[in-house]
Amino acid sequence: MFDKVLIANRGEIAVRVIRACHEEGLGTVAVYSDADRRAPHVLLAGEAIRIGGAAAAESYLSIDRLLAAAEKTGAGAVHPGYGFLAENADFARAVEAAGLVHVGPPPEAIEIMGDKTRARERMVQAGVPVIPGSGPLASAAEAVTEAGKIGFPVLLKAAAGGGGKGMHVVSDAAEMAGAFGRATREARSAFGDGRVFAERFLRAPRHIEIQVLADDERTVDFGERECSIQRRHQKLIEEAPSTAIDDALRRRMAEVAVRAAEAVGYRGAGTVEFLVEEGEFFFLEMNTRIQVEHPVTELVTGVDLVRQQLRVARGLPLLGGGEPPAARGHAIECRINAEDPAVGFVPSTGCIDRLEVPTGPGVRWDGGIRNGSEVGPHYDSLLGKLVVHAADRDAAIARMRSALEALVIGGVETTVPWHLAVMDEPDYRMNDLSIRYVEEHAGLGETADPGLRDVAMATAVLLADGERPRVASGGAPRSHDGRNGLSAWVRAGREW
Amino acid sequence: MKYHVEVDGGSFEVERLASGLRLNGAEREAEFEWMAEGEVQLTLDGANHRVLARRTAGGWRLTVRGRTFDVRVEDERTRTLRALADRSAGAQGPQELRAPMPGLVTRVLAEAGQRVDAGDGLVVIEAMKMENELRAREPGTVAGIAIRPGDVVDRDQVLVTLEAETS
Repeated sequence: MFDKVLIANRGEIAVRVIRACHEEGLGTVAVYSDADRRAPHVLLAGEAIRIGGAAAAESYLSIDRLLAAAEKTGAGAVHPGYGFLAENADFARAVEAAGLVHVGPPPEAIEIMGDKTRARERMVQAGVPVIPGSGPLASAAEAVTEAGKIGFPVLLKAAAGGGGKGMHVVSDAAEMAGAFGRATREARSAFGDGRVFAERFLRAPRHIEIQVLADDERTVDFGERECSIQRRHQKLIEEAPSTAIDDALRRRMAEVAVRAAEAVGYRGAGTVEFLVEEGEFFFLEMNTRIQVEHPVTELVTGVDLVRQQLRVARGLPLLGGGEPPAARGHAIECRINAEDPAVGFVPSTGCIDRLEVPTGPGVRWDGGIRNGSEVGPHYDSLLGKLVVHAADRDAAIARMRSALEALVIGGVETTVPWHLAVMDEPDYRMNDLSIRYVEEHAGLGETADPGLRDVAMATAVLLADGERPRVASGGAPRSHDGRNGLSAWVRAGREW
Repeated sequence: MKYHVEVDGGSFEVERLASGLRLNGAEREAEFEWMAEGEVQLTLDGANHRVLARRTAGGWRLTVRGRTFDVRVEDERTRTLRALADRSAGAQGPQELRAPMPGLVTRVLAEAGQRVDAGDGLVVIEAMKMENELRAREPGTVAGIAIRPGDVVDRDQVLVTLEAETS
């Protein structure tokens, strides 16, 4: 049994894990790169160890340095958070080989689920539904036969590829001959391998995932999260529960998720992701770690998932006797990223010169920044997560709207204006969602409300006017930085 | 006093009145209070707005409800004087492409002496695990390249200089 945990991560998740450790009565060791000396996770932990340069490869991805820090501080366990080394089986093995406890699943489970082909095979064996597909196709005629078995529309995909190249949607048998030729040619030119296969095409699926937790005795589902709102596979808004599925479907998905986890000998917290369309659901992948969006599940179930992870790692049984907890109310999370939604979500860097987070009933902020934090180019752009909980979905949207308006982050551009626009957008409010939501609503939050522009213009003119010497000498407030922007000579000249 | 305001690519005239402003032709009651360094409370026709305010070279960078506006403000007199000064100085000169963010140069897409069109990619910078292609704003000839792939650059560092085309 360990009594001190090294947190091999940074940002909001490191803060989150440190809090849970302290509540479990465990000591904590933060690690930091040169870019993070003044980061919140370093200040919050009981001990902190510098592990290297700002580049992740020299610090948060360096297995040797992390293990050396654990040895130096006498930490008995390592929590990897998410990202960095969280789904790296070699890291999990190295931690165990060093005689430490890895707060996460067994390395074998990480390895299988991390390999698309092996994961799919294992899931099929376990009776978990996967997106129906064919093997490589020899001819257009075979493609028609296979597509008939799968059911049109189908998607032709390059066997060797990815990234959308060589992908064609085929809606019926008549279209197949042309599409098969195009897909084969494109696959050959893009990947040097002309083999293509067919897969069921999902028009507008939702992304719905099931949280599971497993101890040595049993695997329990902790309900679902609706995560359809994503941009380039990066989730932006998550909710729990999903109001798009009924109890019968929810139960079937939960049973399948538990079966998927058991099929790889899972232990700890994990998430089984599905695509859901018209009452059918298909396994996408399993994330073998705590996820960014875990707080929405915590708010509706009242269970601290990170503390449960720590309990399992200590060999203790899950709290709650293994019964799946019922969801109460509705929770929404908005990821607040340092990205500018007005110019295609381009990353924004700078110094956080002002930070005020909303409070009040049902409002939670999981953040990794403080006043004075530098948001640099080295790590991902997540500044924090704004999470709300209310009686139902409409109330949660209203609460999120108020919370977003009260969140003040100065110094970098953030996704806040985009989230505010989504909270007002009719399809979102009607819960008419799919994984294509962000592309179908391109431009959302790009242009500012003219009312806000008027506010900016009015402020700028009043500030400029207030700085004119005749006004300033009358005792008006000085400019914010005590300087005037103009030299005394120029100001004197302007008196005339 | 009249002010010339530039924001979001548009130009506007705003007049300071005794109890407020004339904005888009309408009289608006307006007053403000500094709440703290960098923070202003604006009251516009009675409505409250919280504005983060930072000075920039030609005006203010203002953040309202998470939305940032770079606003240039000039009073009428200063504007007239500047217009005269600009005319005598002759505005043409080399264009500089500067890094909009700190990051790692992953690729350089142009060579010295090469002619480029507006919109042509010049440099790719990686920041926060994303690649960002920086493009030429105007047609011209690449006069100099100040960086190489692998360089770590700071925000506002000059990357490429372009000799603008004389029309």
